[in-house]
Amino acid sequence: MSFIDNIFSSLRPELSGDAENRERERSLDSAIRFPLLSLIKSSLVWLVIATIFGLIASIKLHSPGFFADRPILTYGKVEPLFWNSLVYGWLFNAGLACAVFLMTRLGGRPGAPTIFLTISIVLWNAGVMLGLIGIMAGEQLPYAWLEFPAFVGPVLFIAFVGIALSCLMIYHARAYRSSYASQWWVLAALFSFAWIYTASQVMVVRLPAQGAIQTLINSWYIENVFGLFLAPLAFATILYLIPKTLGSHVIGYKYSACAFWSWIFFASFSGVSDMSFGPIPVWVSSLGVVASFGLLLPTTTLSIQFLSSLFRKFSVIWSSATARFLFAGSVIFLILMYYKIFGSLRGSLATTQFSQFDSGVDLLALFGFAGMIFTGAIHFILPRLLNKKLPFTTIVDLQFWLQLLGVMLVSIGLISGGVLHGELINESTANSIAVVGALKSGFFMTTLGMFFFFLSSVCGVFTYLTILLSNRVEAERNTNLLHEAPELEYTAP
Amino acid sequence: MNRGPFIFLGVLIILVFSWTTVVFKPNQTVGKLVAILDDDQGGRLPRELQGAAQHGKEVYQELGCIACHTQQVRVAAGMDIERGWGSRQSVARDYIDQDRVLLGRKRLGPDLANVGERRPDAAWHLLHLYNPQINSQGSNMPAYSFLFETRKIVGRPSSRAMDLPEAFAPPEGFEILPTRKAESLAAYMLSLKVDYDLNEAPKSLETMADELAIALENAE
Amino acid sequence: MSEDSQIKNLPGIDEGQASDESIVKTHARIRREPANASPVLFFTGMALIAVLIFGWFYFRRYMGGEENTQIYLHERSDIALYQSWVDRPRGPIVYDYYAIGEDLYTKMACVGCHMPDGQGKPGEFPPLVDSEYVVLEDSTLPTKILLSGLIGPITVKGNQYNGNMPAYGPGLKDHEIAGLVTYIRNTWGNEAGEVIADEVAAVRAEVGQRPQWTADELAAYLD
Repeated sequence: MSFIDNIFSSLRPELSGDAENRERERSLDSAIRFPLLSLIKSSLVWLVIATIFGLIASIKLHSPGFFADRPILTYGKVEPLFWNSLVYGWLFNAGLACAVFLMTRLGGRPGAPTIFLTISIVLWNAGVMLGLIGIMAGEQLPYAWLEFPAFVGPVLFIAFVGIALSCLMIYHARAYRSSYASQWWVLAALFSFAWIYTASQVMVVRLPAQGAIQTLINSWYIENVFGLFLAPLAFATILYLIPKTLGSHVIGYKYSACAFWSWIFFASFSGVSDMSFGPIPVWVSSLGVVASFGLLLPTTTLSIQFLSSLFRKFSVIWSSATARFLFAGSVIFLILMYYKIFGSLRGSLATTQFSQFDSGVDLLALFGFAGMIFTGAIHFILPRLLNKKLPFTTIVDLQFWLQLLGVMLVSIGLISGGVLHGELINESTANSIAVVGALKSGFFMTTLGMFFFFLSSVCGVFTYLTILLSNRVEAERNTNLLHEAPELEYTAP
Repeated sequence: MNRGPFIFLGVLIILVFSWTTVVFKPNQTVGKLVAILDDDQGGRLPRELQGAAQHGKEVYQELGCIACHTQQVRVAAGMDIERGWGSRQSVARDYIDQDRVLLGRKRLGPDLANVGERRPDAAWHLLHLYNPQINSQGSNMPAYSFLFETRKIVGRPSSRAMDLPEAFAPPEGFEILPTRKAESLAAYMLSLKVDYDLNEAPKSLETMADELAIALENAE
Repeated sequence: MSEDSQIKNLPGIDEGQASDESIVKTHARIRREPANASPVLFFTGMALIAVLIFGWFYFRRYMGGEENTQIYLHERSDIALYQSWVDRPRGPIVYDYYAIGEDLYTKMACVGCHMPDGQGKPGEFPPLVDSEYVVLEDSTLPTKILLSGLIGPITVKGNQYNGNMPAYGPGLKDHEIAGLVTYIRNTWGNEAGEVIADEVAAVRAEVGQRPQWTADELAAYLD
């Protein structure tokens, strides 16, 4: 009955009962149990750390005296600490957990040696930790999301290649001849990040391009981390979990390939619109604006796919821990793309450039869209990995609402604050001190939202710990905890 | 779509196309600029950072000042020139010497591209860093007092001691001295001047229209 | 430990509603079906048209100058203004000589010897106020002194001075020398007329590189 026994029984459940019930799924899950658990654990730990940094940074925005006397916690260091632990710590671990799970389940065969995968995961998280320590030590580079000191790049790259190769091996070993859209998205995400990370590390960190081009590549990189890595992983997850949790086929699936290629194409160019009015030739940022607008095409297809499939089984959504996250994520996706597409137009950018609008939209994308989807997926994956139920579903419920509320507060605070900032600064030559003073209420809202995030992250860790440490009840010792999933219902029109 | 290599090839082509168009091509046209020599404007343009200012740039990077300050002047949007943050658009040639460019993406504080011209006094910057409330009342910038050391006055007060107003002064018998980092940072602030013109850099639309009108008048 | 009886109906584990294999196979079948009218197709088509129209118009308008790949301005009207500004007729540059001279008088440390009030220092540096070497009609004399310097004893307004003025010709441009001469000839009560850059260029050509003047050599030019 001790915790150690419970952990062991969680990691190596000895189940009795009908061995054929969900035989394939159980063997797949047990094959990747350890690496997947370590990815999920790392993601939850990083989420707590990231939200703490985010809370500190947000408080500093309206109360600059907070921790002002500590050189390690100066705002210029806490801000990159927040973003980097959020992206490379939380989202990468959570996203790659979804990727590994998806590739394994949709392939139907375990393919990768788990030792290799686990070592890569440990290396990745060690690299992120080294990078954060480097920032605290004052070695940060002045590039958004590339602040990690130069020596961390190769570490992260090698770790990522290890994880990517494992997923590729799983895909290669697949049992089914046809592939599902989720697998295309995961493959695209893995290939893309390897390329954009290499290009950025070489042209910005190692052999820096001249002057303003560094910032150009930086803008290209940031948008691509979301558009070509995190968003594809989120799409992959939604596309799998919709039929899985709702039993409904994805409406409009026929156009998935069109959505896939058009998203990859337009997303790869859209970042450079950030540098409109800047020291780069105008045609580059115009191309970025056109590409951002081009994202309207895949956004239409994808959001119709997600939302109509979800609405078709709307009543079921609220009785599932996972589906509610998918629903929230899909709605936020639509709002997010509206801001991304119309926010990149010059007229809008003239007001919002250099304000917190960017941060707000990014956090909407990271917390609201990718974060929600990955969190929902984790609640789907965890019980299956351990063959146990989530012990306190109240906490899961609470986590959802706290996260949703947090997303709304943070994004409203930053987006509306950013627009206000831009308008005030553009309408007069009033001192910027007075302008920033008017933004305080927006910053308070952001701090409140960050606090809710922090609480929801604590809930997440609590869920993970309790499911790992809880006693295994009778039903959970049986292979019949879950029933064999039926065939997907679909009638050709 | 069922074959991995097909997806890989497609994604690779798209990414290479994207990289070539928006990274490689601008790098070829605007990423291989050289400094120009202009005697009328004081020699080599852009001007190189010298001495303590170079160390100050490293301190700026280390402390993450880029999180709140930009160093680029815009003409086509905003009120940068009307606010006195510069007299012309910042162009790529202004940044060719910076090994780690500090363009910035957020303006919680004013743009710093020309702060050396607006505030040419090192003492102002040291006071501002010690506690922005001293000369920028109501500012949202945190106090960087850890860049300064408090020392007991032994014998005569140091010549480098800060001249602080009463509300911020240290207790009797103590003096506040800037550390080397603070002094370098102040030197770097002073070096941030774009007091030269470049042919390719547009000035504000008003200025250009005025100068054009004057030139056309003179030509008659 | 499962508490799902306590909270609405949130189960501790989500039942799978479809098997993985059927998900893959069914959707592959959906992809192979012939296209039919559906809301997705309609809205996707509309979005495609919107994207193409937007792209076309935006490219045409905001791609910057064709020749100059470094153009930084966006609106076509701004680019046109910029081009005219760059190509504006630059006639002979009109200098404000007095202002240039006033600025340089301090910058070039003339104040150090001749003093801010132009009175000089007795015995060493002659005054410029009402000096016969400065206000005479022939402006080439002060120009020559500035270009090549002056050394040795000199009598100005009846007083003896003995100093060593370096040559400023090599270090200053024509319009700067002209500015200084204009300034000293028109300030502190002097009213002796302007000197322009072309005149300085002529004097420079005539005089060439030479050692510092002495008062004896200059006597010939004094009237």
